[in-house]
Amino acid sequence: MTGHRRPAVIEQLRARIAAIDKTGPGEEEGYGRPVLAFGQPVIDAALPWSGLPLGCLHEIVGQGTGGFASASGFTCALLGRFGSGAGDHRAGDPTATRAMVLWCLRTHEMREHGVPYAPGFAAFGLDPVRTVITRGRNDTDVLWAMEESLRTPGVAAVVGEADDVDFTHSRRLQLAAEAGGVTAFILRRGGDMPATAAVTRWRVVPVPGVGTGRSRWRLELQRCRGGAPNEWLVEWDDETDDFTVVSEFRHGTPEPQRAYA
Amino acid sequence: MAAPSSAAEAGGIPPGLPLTDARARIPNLKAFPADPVGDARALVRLAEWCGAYTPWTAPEDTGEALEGGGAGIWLDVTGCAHLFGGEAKLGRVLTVRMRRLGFTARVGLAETPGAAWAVARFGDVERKRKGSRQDEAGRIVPPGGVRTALTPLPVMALRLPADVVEGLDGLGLRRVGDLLNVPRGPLTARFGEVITRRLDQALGHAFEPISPRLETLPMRVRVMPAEPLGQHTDIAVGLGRLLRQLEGRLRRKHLGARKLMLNLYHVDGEVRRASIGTSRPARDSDHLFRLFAERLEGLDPGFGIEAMVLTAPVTEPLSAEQIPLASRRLRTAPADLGAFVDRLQNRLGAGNVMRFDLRESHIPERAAATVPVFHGGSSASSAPATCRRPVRLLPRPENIEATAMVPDGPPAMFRWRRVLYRTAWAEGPERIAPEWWLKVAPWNAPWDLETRDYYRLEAVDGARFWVFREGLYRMAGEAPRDPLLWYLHGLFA
Repeated sequence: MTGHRRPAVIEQLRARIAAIDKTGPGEEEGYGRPVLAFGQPVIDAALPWSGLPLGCLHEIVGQGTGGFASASGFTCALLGRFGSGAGDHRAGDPTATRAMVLWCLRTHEMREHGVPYAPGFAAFGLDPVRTVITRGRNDTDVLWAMEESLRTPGVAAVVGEADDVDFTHSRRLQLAAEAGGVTAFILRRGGDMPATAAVTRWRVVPVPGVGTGRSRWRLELQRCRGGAPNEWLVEWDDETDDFTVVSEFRHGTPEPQRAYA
Repeated sequence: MAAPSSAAEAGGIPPGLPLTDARARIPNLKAFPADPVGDARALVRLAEWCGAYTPWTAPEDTGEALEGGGAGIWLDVTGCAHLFGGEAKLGRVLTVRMRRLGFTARVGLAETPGAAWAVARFGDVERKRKGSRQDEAGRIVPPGGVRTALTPLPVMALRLPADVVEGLDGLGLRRVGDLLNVPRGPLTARFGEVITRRLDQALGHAFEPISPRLETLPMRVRVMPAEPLGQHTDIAVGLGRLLRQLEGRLRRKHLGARKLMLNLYHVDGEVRRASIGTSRPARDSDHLFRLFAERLEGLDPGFGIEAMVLTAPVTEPLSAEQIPLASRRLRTAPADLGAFVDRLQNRLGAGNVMRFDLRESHIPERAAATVPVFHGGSSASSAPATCRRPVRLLPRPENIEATAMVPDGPPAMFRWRRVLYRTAWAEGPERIAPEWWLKVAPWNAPWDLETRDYYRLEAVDGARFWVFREGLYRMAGEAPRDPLLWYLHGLFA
């Protein structure tokens, strides 16, 4: 193989991978999948699907009790955009307004991190009345419930709080999500991060708001299939139900001085 | 000696003989302590086992000490016998099956419980006398033949107490037939109403209610394979058949099952159960089968299963649904969701699959409720427009050590779960008073009885908390309270 032919070969291989991998950027007009747009050009542009692809598995990491709450809030914000019209429904409407959202908990973790609180959902534009809560004994129950719901039409999205998720588990869930067109989120506490088949992995770190008490996070895109890691400082505006990118971090640059210290 | 074996009885040991006397007669006699409680329990289990033949079974009441009484099981086989090829055959099947379980059984069948009881126990006497070698069929009293069947039997057959039997014996009344011809007045005057009552019950002049072990269920289907089932796959096939049968019956009555119970009758006399519940009335056999699939794994076929009975103890009206002509896959989404919720509930437990609902309450714990998934609409048409609420709430508020700059101000720092947090920003208080119009607090938490002052705090590291101080700092005309109790209740995103 000669040097000048290599880019062509790589292009060819990429195209083949994209054809096999349904979650990758497709051929025609860029993207074949319905996506959930953040509505922030900076974030949407950084994702190869120009939004969060639906019918896929995503991981959201929140370290510590505060971080886990922030990760829950971020997940709520994403779920709230389902059916709100904010998402991009190029391929039909997979997020019908009446669709059910599932949140799978573990009984023994409920004391540690608390339970999702319905009145708090309103701030993220998520209607608690269509949220179904399941309580399992352990991670296995959570993953089982997730997989069941991924095969069910009428479910828009499922959130599972689980930590013991290895590559096989996430691969199963990713395949089920692809097959069923249901979007899955794994909410985990951090710590050991094994390889994952999830399409994206986000880490949400609470950052002090500037005296507003608003939810402000450092949003780290740690892993993104077909894309590069990135991070942003975002704020959630609970009046407009929208993200605002406060500042954009270049990956690898140190965090700027905080407003409060 | 409570219950000598037939061999021992043949060796000259009547019931009631002291053990030492029995040992003297048969030196190598094996004796076991009597266990009436265990016997009663075994009888109940045996009655349950008979459920494979008829839904209506009851162990005999062992309360009265009767000659020949105690170890009996009532079966109402009305409308069941033809399933086994007639009454005579059913009787034979029952005795043979019982023998295989290690029991000696005698079957009596008649129009009245009293007559059946009598012929089961004393029908032999008549036959032995005649010297005939009739089969079990001999203990079946043909319709209208109760009087004739009872006439030659001893008076014991009427379930009379031992002293009454003795008294009658003294009068020379030894057979039921003797009693039939005696005027009733003097009998009642002498022995009480027991004789006439038993006589009327046996002859069918008086109704005798017997409570079955289980209430009879109309929605009940049964499969009895020719060979005992020993494989999981066989059970699955049998269950599929039962569910399809039940589906048809439920559909005809416009019912859907909310609860299903599967009883597996094992050849060794064990009865194993599996039950499922559904969130909405259901009768679709495929769906119900999937619900059972999870349970079947745990059921051990053991030595084999000779009967499977499926009952629907709880049913609710389910109108005839429109089944799409094209295919089953075109079913509407809600039906799918119902099936899906059932699957979740059967694995996780019914209380563990719930839907959020909002309540009109300012007390944080009370504002959010969980209700069954298909519970009607939201009870709070308009949830109170409250201040910001945390995204996660701790199941119970947790005590924190807080230091406030001013006694009734927000904490400047606090320690929660052994970690010290410094407050960077605080908002509050939001004062939430107890709902005095509710007389009884649904839970006995001390903080429920007091006014709470909630603050939203942001720690220096960015974590956002919802904390409250219990009670007012200072009530009018009282000394300030010391120490102040602070709790952490929720976490903001």
